[in-house]
Amino acid sequence: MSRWRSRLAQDDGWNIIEAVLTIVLGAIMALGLAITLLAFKEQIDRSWAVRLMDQTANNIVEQLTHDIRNAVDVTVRGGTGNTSRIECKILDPLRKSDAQQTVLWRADTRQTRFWRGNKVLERDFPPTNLGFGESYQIVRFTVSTFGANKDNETWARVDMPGRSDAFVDAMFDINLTMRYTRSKNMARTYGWTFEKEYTNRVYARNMNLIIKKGVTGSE
Amino acid sequence: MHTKKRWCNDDGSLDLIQLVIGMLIVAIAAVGSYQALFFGTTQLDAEMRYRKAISLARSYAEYWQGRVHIDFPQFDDPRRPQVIAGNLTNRIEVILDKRDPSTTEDDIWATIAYDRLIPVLRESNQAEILYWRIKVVIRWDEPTLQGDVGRFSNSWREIDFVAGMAHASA
Repeated sequence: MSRWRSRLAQDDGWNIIEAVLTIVLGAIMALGLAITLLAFKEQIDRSWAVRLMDQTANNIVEQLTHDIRNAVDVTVRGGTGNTSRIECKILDPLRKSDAQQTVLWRADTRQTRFWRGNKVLERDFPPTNLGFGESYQIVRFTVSTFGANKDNETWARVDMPGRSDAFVDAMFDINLTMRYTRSKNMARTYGWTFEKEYTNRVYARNMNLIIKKGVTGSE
Repeated sequence: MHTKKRWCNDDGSLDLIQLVIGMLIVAIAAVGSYQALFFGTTQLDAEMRYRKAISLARSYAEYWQGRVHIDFPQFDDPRRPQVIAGNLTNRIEVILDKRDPSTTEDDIWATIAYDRLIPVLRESNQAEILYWRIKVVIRWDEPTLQGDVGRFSNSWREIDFVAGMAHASA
């Protein structure tokens, strides 16, 4: 065996250089692994929160769309913050054209909840196990008439003069904007915010049917 | 036996080579996990865009349902042929996904239009229109895995949304 091989093969234990180098490399590895795992957790938490908000917002918009589509009359009033209070007059499902009921839609921006009449929608939202610095906000929950919300819809603005009043009065734009925030804290060196807008356009066909005149007594 | 004894004789500790190889394995596993996570989030984003596209198509269909229901040009109206013909050759651009809110370069836009309105006639009386068939087409380019929206990419997606509506006097 050569002298170098003999020295390399000699393993009577650790010398100080090997020990220090091993500790440094081990520490770098552990630090890298911890950072990677924390980054994974951060990305997974963000993804989950965004999907939850997306699912909830889509459910709310769909239910409101269904109510407005089948309403014989829709009244929109201002609510707290940038929200609306929407009154939908719908036919009583049991008595049909003989009576109607009014359903009131509103949003509670403090508790981030949506109400349909006296019933809270999406009871599991927002989740009760939010982490420190996590929060959901309702930025906007409005229903406007066709053409009033002119963002990114120049065709609606240009086309509007050719539309009749009966069409415009029965066409509504639903706009729900929600925001998810992860504030900076001990575990996170920077904050993150995700805001998304959910829109739907719905035509309240029953407002222009003959049956509507018989139910509400007005045109 | 002499060789086997040397391989087994490690006194229960790691040497430098073993430590480096362990680090390399952990790094490869981390990179693989990161790629899987990135792929998963991009697929989820694509599904969110798909749902948004359906919502946009339905909103546009609702608009034309309203027009057909209460605002449809009569037979003597000069606008009637233009309304019936559709606007596939003059699509409307709508924003589908803003992605990074700090820049507009990565925004994904979709084009939306409605096809020719087709009257569905009553079987017993071919002169009577039961309802109009409304077909809305929305198309957009899905970004590549690298995150860029390539104008010439072949990963475009299209949704055909079909609805029907009768005139209010029907």
